[in-house]
Parts: sequence; structure tokens; C-alpha cells
Amino acid sequence: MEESAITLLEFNRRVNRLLHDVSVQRCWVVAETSDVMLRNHCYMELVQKNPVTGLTEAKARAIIWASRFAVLRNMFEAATGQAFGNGLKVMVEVSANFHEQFGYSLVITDINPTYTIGDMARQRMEIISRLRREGLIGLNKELDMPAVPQRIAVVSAGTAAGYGDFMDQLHGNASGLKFYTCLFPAVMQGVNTPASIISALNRIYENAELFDCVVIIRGGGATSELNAFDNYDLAANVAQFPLPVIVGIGHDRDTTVLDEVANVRVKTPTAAAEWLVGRAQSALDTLNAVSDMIADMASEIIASARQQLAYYTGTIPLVAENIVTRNKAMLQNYVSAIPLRAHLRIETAGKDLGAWKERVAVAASQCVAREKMRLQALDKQVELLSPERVLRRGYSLTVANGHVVTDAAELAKGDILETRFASGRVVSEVK
Amino acid sequence: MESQDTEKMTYSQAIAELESIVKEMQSENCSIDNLSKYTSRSLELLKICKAKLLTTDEELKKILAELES
Repeated sequence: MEESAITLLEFNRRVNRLLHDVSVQRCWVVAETSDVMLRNHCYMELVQKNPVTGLTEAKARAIIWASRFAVLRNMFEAATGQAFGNGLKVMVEVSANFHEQFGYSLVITDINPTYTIGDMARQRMEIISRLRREGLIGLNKELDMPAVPQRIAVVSAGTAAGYGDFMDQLHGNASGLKFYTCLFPAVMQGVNTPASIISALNRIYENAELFDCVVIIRGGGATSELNAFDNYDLAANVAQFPLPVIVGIGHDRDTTVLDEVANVRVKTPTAAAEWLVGRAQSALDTLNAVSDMIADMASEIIASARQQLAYYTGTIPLVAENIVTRNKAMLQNYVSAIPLRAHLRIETAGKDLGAWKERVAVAASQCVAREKMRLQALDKQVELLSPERVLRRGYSLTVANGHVVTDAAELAKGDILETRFASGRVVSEVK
Repeated sequence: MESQDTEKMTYSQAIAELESIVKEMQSENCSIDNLSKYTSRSLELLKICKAKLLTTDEELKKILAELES
């Protein structure tokens, strides 16, 4: 028993030899990266987690030799737009290895980036559909960008080349358009990116009334670490931000989730500055156009007023002349009409006069006849009442002392009476 | 059309008034009596707008500089 014992080294060598079986050599494996560490060679842990519980179900150390890693990293990052790092779903070609001293590990010889791309796209789609489900995806897009966004809150790493490009482009614009920027520094790469940007947004939110819009820029360097921008929390924050957000995070990949929710999406920080300058420039162009337009309209109105004036200048004397002529003609009419009228009037008056004459004559003769008749009636009455007529009927008239006697008492003895008859008279004495 | 205090006017308020003046001037019943009123007001508004685009608001610049530091 004891003679058959072997050294640990010998045992480990046997294990190593067993691991050279084809079934565990150059085998494609899917796993998630963690604890990625670059120390000449690239060391990491490959893990498999339970999709429901998130608990680790399998784990193995892995290594990519430095020479191989240089090639694989370039290829991977170019294809995925994503830096090789932790938390990536990868498909890797591995060979089991057992080192006498360091134990079990896997040697990675190849990576299939398509798998990672697919996984990232799936994650992105999941985030996007969640944002859509929650009604957040269009919120920032629906905000009205001011006609001239001049006051700009910039979220960027202050030292980044992209920030410098943005500032140069914006403040150095050819038209001398003024912009006001305020930098809210944030980490723009690595796992802390979302939280760092969210904290910058919170600081902007406290001073939101000072700004027209927010610009999130990241530029220069490799097109990697875009994974940070496919983040639900960050996207939800940007979507619900009360100011329109312009995103220029410098990449050629289709879109990140951040691009999906931003009000304006451009490729680079320089493009973000160009966009802002362009908007202000078009406002300035509009102002100049309006200015020209007002001048044109004013001179047009003046020209038409002048034209109207010219019309009146030409027309008024003519109109005046017409009026004079018309009045003259009217006067002439009167001149010729008056004698005729007068004649007519006299004629009429003459006729009237004749009629009146006749009526007066008739009236006069009627009056004369009427009076004649009245006289005749009176004459008759007078005749009836005359004393001769009374005397003829047998009455007599006694006169004493020159008076007609109507009362015997008036007489005294010896008075001389004259009694008149219709014919003749006698004188007697009272006894 | 009401004329606001030009000092406190925002760019969009000035633009809105400018647009209404242009509309007024384009209408048939723009009399020559209003012309100088309209043109002088619109020049004033244009000046405000251009100033907003082209002149530095030192006060705002200072506030933002303080915020940034």
C-alpha cells in the first residue's frame, strides 16, 4: 500500500494528463465574465448563474495569454462596441488545464463576439420594452426644445477630449452666437457610469430653471464601455428629466438605450455642439429674414400709399372741374327756366283773377238783390203801418197843442182839438 | 397686440410679438398710420432677439460659473 503511494506532483500530472481528453479541449462554452484582471495575461472567473435565483451554479478560473488577448480584445471590442470586462455574456473556446502548482483553470483561445452582441441586444430590447411598458420611453422626446437653447448643462468628464471639442465648437462658432455652459462632472466609463450620470442629473435638476437643455457627452478614446448606457435606471432618469436632453456619446453602433430616450441624439460631442449652433444660427437667420421682410412690407405699404396719393392728385382737379361744370349747367337751366316759369305763374294768376272778378260780381249782384228784397219787405211793412192807411180804415187822429192825444186825461176844458180823418179835418172844443 | 415690458421679455415672447406684427402688416387693413408704430416696435423686438443671441449675459455667466466651481 505504502510502496504504491505517489507524490502529489505525480498525481497532479496524472490529472493534467486526463484533462487532455478531446472532450474538454477546444470546447465552446457559454458563461459570464467576472473578476476580469489584466496582469500581462488576462485573468478572470467564468461563472454560470441560475437565471431565476441569480445564484452561482458553476465557476472556473480562466486565462487568456497576453499575446492571444491582444488579438481577441481588438476583435471583440470592434465587433461589440463593448470593452472586454466584467458581467459580459461570452461564448469562449476553452481548454481544461490543470497546473501542478496552481490547480484547475481554463485557457481561452477564442471568443465569439456574436453571442455577446446578441445578449447585449436582448438586454437592450428588454430595457426598451420595459420603458415602453412603463410609458417612459417618449417622455423626454415630447419636451419642446426651446427655439434657441443657449443655457446648457453639460454632463461629461471634465478632462475628456470630447468635452474640449464640444466647448471649442460651441463657443468658437463663426456667427458669434452666445452660449452659456455649466459642467456637471460625471464618470463616463466603467460600472459607475450610470450612477454618476444620474447624480449629475440630480444636481442639474436642483437648478433646472437656469438651463434650457442638458447635454450628455462622452468622446475620444475607444468605442467601448457602451454597456453603461444600456442601463434602465439611467434611461428612466433621462426619460423623465424635465429638460430636453441631447446625447452625444460618441459611437458608431446602432443605438444605446440612452439614445432611444434622449430628446436629441447625435453621434459625437462635436456634433452636439454643431446641432446647438445650427439651431441658434437658424434662429438668427430667421431674425434677419423677418427684418428684411418688415422692411419690404413697410416700403410696399408706403409705395401703395404713394400710388393712392398720386391717383388722388390726378383725380381731384378733374372731379372739381366736373363739379363746376355741372353747377354751371344747372345755373344755366335756372336762367332759362325762370322767365318761362314767371310767365306761367302770371298767366295762372291772371286766370285766377278773372275767376275772382266773376265771383265778386256775382256776389255783389246777389247782395244787391238780397237787399232790394229786404227793402221791399220793409216798404210793405211801413205802408201797412202808415197812419193814412189806419185813418182810411175809419180810425181818426186827435191832435191837441201840437201833440197826438192818446189819453183823455191829458185834456182840459176849453182845449182846442184837431181831429184828422182819412180825408179832411175838423176843429172842436172840449166842453 | 399688447406690448410687454421689453426689458423682461424672453426670446420666445419677443418672437411671438414679432410674428403678430408681421401678420398685422401683411393684412389688408394695415394703414400707413400704424406703419411707423409697427416698424419701430419690430425693430426694437429684433434688437432684443439679436441681443439675446449675440451679446453675453454677464450675470448669467457669473451664476453658472459659481455653480460650476
